[in-house]
Amino acid sequence: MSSNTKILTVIKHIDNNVNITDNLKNFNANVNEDYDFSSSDEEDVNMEEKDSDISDDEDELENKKLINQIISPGDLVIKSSEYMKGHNTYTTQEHFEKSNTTEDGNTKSGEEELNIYSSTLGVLSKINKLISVTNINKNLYQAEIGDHIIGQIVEVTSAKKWKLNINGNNLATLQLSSINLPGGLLRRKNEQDELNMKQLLKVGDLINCEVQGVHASGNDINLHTRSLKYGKLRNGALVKVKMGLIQRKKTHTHFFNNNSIKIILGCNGFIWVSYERAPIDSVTKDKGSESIKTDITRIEQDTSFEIYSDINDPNIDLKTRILISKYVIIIKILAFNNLVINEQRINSVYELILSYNRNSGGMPNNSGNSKDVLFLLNDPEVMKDIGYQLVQGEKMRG
Amino acid sequence: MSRFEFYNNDGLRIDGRRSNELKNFESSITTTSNFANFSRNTSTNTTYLQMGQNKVLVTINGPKEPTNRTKIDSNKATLSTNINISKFSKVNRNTNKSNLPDKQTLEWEYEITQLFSTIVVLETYPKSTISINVTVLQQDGGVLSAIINCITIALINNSIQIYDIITAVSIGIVDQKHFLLDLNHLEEQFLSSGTIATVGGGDQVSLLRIRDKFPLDLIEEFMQVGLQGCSVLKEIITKQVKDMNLNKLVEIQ
Amino acid sequence: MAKDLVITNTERQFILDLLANSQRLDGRKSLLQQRDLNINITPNRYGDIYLELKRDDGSIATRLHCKVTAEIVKPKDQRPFEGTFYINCEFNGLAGLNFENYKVGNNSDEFYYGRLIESMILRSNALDLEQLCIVAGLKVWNIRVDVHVLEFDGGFLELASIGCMTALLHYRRPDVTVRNEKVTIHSFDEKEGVKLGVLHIPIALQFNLFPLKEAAEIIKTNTSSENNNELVVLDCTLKEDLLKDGEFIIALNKNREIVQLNKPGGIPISASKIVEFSHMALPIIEETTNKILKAIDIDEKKRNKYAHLLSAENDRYVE
Repeated sequence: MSSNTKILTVIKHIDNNVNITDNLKNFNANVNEDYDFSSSDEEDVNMEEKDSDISDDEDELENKKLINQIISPGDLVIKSSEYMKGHNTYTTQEHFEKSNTTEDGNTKSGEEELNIYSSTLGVLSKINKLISVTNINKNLYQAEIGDHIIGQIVEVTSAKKWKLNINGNNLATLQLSSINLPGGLLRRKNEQDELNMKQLLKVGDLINCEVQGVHASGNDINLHTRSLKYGKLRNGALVKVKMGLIQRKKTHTHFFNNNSIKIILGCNGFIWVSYERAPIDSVTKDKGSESIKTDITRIEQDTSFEIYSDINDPNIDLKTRILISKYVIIIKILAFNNLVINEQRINSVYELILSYNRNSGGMPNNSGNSKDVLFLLNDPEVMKDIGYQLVQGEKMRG
Repeated sequence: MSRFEFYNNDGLRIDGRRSNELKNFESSITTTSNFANFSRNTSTNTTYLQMGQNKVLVTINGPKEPTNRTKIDSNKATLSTNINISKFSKVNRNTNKSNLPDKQTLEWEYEITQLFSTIVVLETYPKSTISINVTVLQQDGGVLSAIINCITIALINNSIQIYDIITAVSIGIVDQKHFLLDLNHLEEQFLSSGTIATVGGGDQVSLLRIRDKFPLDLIEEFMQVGLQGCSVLKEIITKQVKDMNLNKLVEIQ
Repeated sequence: MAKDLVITNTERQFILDLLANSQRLDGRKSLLQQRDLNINITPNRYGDIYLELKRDDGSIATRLHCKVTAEIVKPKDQRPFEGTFYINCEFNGLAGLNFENYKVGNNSDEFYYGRLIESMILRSNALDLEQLCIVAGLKVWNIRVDVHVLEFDGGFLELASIGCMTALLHYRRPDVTVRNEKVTIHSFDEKEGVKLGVLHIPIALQFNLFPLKEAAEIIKTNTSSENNNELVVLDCTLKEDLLKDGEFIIALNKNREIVQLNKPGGIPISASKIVEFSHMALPIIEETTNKILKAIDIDEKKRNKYAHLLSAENDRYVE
């Protein structure tokens, strides 16, 4: 709606209330509106009809329908004692004494009713009797057990713990006992290890780990790295994207470009793009009993100080570096267009970029140098365009 | 009494509004170029509000673990506010050489912290801090109300749980009888004025601030004008916030 | 205010229960009852006031010292014709073990209350600053009020506002004569001091709010339902002060004018209640104003004990 009509509605609102003589106690501007499940506010539809004289777009009607689904903070979601409150809601109790007195002789005076209100901007979600509101803006990571995430070490505490930033409202903890110590699985940890904590993981290191436990209603999170696929991250770049763009899947580690690029999609919105050759067996073979067996032996072999090394692989040449940054940009493009990031989409955007390269032949500074192309892709217009093409392509395929 | 004519015979004010008409209210999300940092919608949004000629920018940091260990409250989050009124925000450049905020700003910080401590559902964020950073780019009367409105929108945009929407509006009185809603710079300078903030557009007053001489018998009417302004503003804010976040709804579904 | 003072959970519950039954911990019978106020003016000095709040048993709950000093300074560039005024509120180790020296944060209550009183006096023109000008642009009086808390058990804002106004009303600055831009200050022996131009007497009153319900319920109350969400308490003790959740400050003068009306956050209350309280505050403030004027009057009479001997006036008889 344009700003002019907005002002008009303001004037209209105020003109209704020009007479300000009535007593304050009668002032009752805001009658609690029940939230309608079927999402059809008659008033709003009427408003829409007035406005739609000018623009009869179906899109706008669609938007109107969507807007009616959004619950703003403070809105009454439901008024009943049967439901339970879930995330992002709060309740008030209301005593009803007048309810049944008029019709029947038997009075139910002490009836209590639960009002469930929303405390955030979101959409209603109802699972059996549990009413909760799903946030529209998901900013913070809410941990669930088993999530594969990436965390950044913020602090090494004295109590045999590391504190990690995992994009949540509190820092997560990684205990010394829940990492693989160099020297194999069966090694017992000794006091020397406590002293060496800083050598293993320092402040600023990135860790690829899994959520082991969530306590205190999501505010106390424990992590572990007790598997070969977890550990310190090297040879790559970190991209942070908005929460909600990454969905929980079976695997979060993907290999691209002839298994030379490894992308870890952390559930907490941190994405790690790195150069790493995929181990051939893990790609070719499915997970079976054999591979687990080999895994255990491999852990013993591979868990040395090397996995906690800080030094990037010196063999990475410029070409690989450009390749890494290409994938970083792909993720940026997806995030820019608010598209859920998954393996398939990354692949299709990669193809789009290659073709885009050819399409933009008319561009001035295009000499086929891949550096320039990367620079070109950082333009928001281009990003938007690629996102649009991707969505169109997906629609075609269905 | 007044040296200026605050409204002409047609009932229009200096800037062409009626006596109980609000200023143009436009808010938008993420105006700073977060583009360089990965995506249009990063975890911290910036909220920009233009209320008349007031231009306010709010960023909210958190909830996150406080860097200062002594500030930890194991039951709920702590809230802190920091207001920066830029020196170029007024017609006359602020000549105050030190970068420290003036006393009025500190008062506002105190009041806003107190105000939002009851509105934010702090119990959901134990052991963490939420810091609200306000930058006033341009002021045109009723800055406090613009700041409060902008913080409300910013809290919603950052999906921090709040009990209800808070709206604030400034009110002035002319000739001991007429009330003007949502003052501009000139009116604020020459009139006794006050700011009122209500919860959820109802008649629950959450913040009230009158710093000028004001007749006691007119307080009731003052409140009525303020409450009406706030309830209208609540609808505008709700609508704008929903519009702003519409594109994100599409992607959820 | 007192940062380290932590009230145990049982005591908290006890005090709140007492309040819910309109009882106070110090024996007062009503929530709106204030403690006895004593205004002591130090003899032989101008603008030196001790204020006391007394409990029912006669012991002193809160004691405050207000002192006015004046000095000649250069005026501010923007206002060459006006004197300057400054209030310095200090809560330090004198007040008790729980108060630290030199640690007044910018977000503390003391700062806020101090500012409130300052702007109460300045913005409402309670003190005529133009009378304080000696030579325009060069020399003006700087009036400074120091408020020290000597003993503290709540009631700071009211006491400080009463103390400041009493001190300002009572204070006399030395007289000056200006001749050819040369300023002579006369001592009190030479010339009688000059009273400050106090145009009206604003006094602050603080209504403390105690919620009876959860925050969510208070925010979501219907206007139509006439239920009580909060308790309103006047003149809190320190312990009550720490438990309160919101306040409502009004500064009025006898002329039915609001000088300050502040509700800095806290739990919301309905607009009609605010109106109700504002009107309720008026008689209380009138009473306090009379008390101040009476105290000054008595002091005046004491000082001028022998005035009638020196006076050349004849007694006037009214027929």
